Amino acid sequence: MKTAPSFFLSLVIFLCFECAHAKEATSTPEGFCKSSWQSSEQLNTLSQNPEWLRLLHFRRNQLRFSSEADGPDFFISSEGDRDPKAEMIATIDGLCSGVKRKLQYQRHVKEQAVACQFPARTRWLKSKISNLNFTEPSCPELDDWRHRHKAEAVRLVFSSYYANNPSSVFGHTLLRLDPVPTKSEVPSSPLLSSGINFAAEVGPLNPVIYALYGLIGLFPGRFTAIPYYYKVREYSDFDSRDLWEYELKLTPEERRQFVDHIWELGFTHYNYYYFTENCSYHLLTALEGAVPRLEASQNVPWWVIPADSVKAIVRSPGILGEVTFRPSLHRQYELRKERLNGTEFEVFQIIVRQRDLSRLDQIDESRRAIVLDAALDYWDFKYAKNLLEKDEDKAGFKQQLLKLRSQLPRTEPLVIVPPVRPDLSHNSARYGLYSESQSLENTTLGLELRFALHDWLDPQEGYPETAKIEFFRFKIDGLQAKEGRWGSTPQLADFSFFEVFLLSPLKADNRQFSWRAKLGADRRWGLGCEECLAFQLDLKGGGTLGFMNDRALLFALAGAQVRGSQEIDPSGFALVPTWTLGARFMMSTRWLAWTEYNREYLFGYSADDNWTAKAEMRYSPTLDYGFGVGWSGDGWKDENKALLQFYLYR
Amino acid sequence: MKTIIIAMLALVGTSALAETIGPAGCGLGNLAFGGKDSQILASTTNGTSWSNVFGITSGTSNCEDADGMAKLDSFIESNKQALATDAARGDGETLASVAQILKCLNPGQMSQVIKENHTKIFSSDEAKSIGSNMRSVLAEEQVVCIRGA
Repeated sequence: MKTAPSFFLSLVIFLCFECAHAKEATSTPEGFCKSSWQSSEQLNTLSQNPEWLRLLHFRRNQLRFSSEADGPDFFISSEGDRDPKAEMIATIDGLCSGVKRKLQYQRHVKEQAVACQFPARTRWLKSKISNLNFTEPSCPELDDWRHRHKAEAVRLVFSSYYANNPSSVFGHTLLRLDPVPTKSEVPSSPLLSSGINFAAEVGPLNPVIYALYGLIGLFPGRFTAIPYYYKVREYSDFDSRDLWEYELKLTPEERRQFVDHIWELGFTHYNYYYFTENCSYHLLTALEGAVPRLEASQNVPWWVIPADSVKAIVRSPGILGEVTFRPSLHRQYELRKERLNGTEFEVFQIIVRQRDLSRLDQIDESRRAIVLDAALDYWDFKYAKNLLEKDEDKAGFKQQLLKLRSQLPRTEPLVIVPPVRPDLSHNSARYGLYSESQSLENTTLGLELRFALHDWLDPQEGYPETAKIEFFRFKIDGLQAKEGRWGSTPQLADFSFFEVFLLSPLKADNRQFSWRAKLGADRRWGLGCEECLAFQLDLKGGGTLGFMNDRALLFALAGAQVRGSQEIDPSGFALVPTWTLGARFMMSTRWLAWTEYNREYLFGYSADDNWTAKAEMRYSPTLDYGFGVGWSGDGWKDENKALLQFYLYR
Repeated sequence: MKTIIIAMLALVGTSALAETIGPAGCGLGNLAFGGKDSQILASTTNGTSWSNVFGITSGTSNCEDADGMAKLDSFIESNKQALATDAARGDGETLASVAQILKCLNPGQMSQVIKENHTKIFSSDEAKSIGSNMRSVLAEEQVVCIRGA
């Protein structure tokens, strides 16, 4: 599996930051520092101010009221992570005395005065305590940081779903700081901006340890900085992920406070919890620490999906500025391909398949460049890894393409029509009610819960249209009518811990597999397990054909399931070969249909009866709710059911 | 049951968490893109991350140098393929970045010159040689770049 990286930043800027401070830095005998401020009533109120609590990253949960920051250096008081007043006293004390604290991390910064380590806190305290005068220390490291990160604009970057790499199916977020333009006439390039990223820091460990540590918070998560171009190359070129850049309308003071707050956060870490305190969550809290008017972290559930965090931020009043779309290399290639006519596409195919450039002469001279442009993008995305690894064969042919291309004139830039923005999509959590009826007298009513993210029949806007990505979905039968008599024996009917189901329509230039992986549990018959709840790991691979511009997809997959239950004879486990045929139809992004037929081979049982089938259709009038109807059949139980569903997206 | 849990953990481990693995970047002694790991941004960390935020400050990073030369080289190192392609087309974001790094006052002219001299500039796949070829071509063709000489 991909040991994918993480996210980070850096940048260049000029201009000295805040030289003015030094002038007001005279302490006066009447100042706050000289007064008997420790007993001041003012601190009781001030230390409970939500803005102060956010700067300290306090959060109240059922168990306690404490800071989520886990690095001890982030608190001056030993009680600071639990007691905001103690931390306020210690901070003011440190400012007044000018003491330099030795920090645990001694690799680059050995000692920092409180004002240097906590510039955002300091600024906030000074704004609240008018006569807080103290001798401003010199802070060379902080000055350097500010010098390099003086941002003219802050952008929230969402890296979209990449279903073929399960690690990135939920997307990712980072922040981008755009430098203040220099006085030179050269326009600044966003590639040279900085990215600010929060990610878990893990070494090369085995997957089980990863999972365990991630679930129980044993990895430290940290803020890091890296040039934005690293992220563009990684996401756009290697992962085929589009990037969405949301400008956040922050005031200059908020931007300054944000840059300073990130600096403060560089002195700590957070225990990283994959579902809750994850990459997206702490970007939210970092922004909120610096920009108190944001209420974003209140507006995401306790599990944080990156797209939801984007919604929470951009829906804060007055925050959303310009939105830009950066297509992945793969998307650019698709657009370049669309510009080719029939003959040109044929020649393109011959170039990239047979590496035969001689047919280029058949093409009108004015059109050769666009054929080569398509071939170059194809080569760059198809062989990204080979080229990175300096594979001489692939690099050699690229060199030939480049040579020819450089001798031809420039062409019109690509016109890029962005897809629907990911923040304008249905919410990832879904609540459903369903009924399954063999007849009116034999009906089951139940409840479905899904934490995330998207399936075949949900409104498609803003999500990948050929992928189902589900996480923590529960289907619970509640009320049952048998022969007309109603009763209630709630039971778990189906559970997905994780399911990714990807249909990749086969194309002449793209022969990707379609596949499905589901880990969960369901109730099936056979093997002595009569409707018992059995653990299920289902892996299938196959191919998909797309028709009508991929609005109709036909697929065939084959694979096997591991099923486990104490009731399964004789070992408790069974390996069940299985195959599936199916189709998905998209009448519109809100009106979709799905049908599938599955066959299983249970050893020792007749295969003839072992089939299930399903046909479903759903219509969603808005992004908030949808209705479904359908039919399901089960050969083993000799059963036909009519399905009715209602879903709410929250 | 134990088996089930382990199986589930194994799956999560290889999928859900992989996104978060491994900061790799400036100041870690290995330009992430230069890693020989087939994974794009090699997660070859040395176990510290302090340097990610503060390595830049410390001046040990090769990403952000006051002098445009080193900066150009590290930009080329990370953007080599995209830059070579943009350069052949004579247009693109990586060329705009080069113009900004070298402070070339006429980016259009700079791009044209780089395009025309593509073979010469990209004759090597080492970032340093590409950078120095580029600078000497720009100087020869008298493209005005404040940091270009």
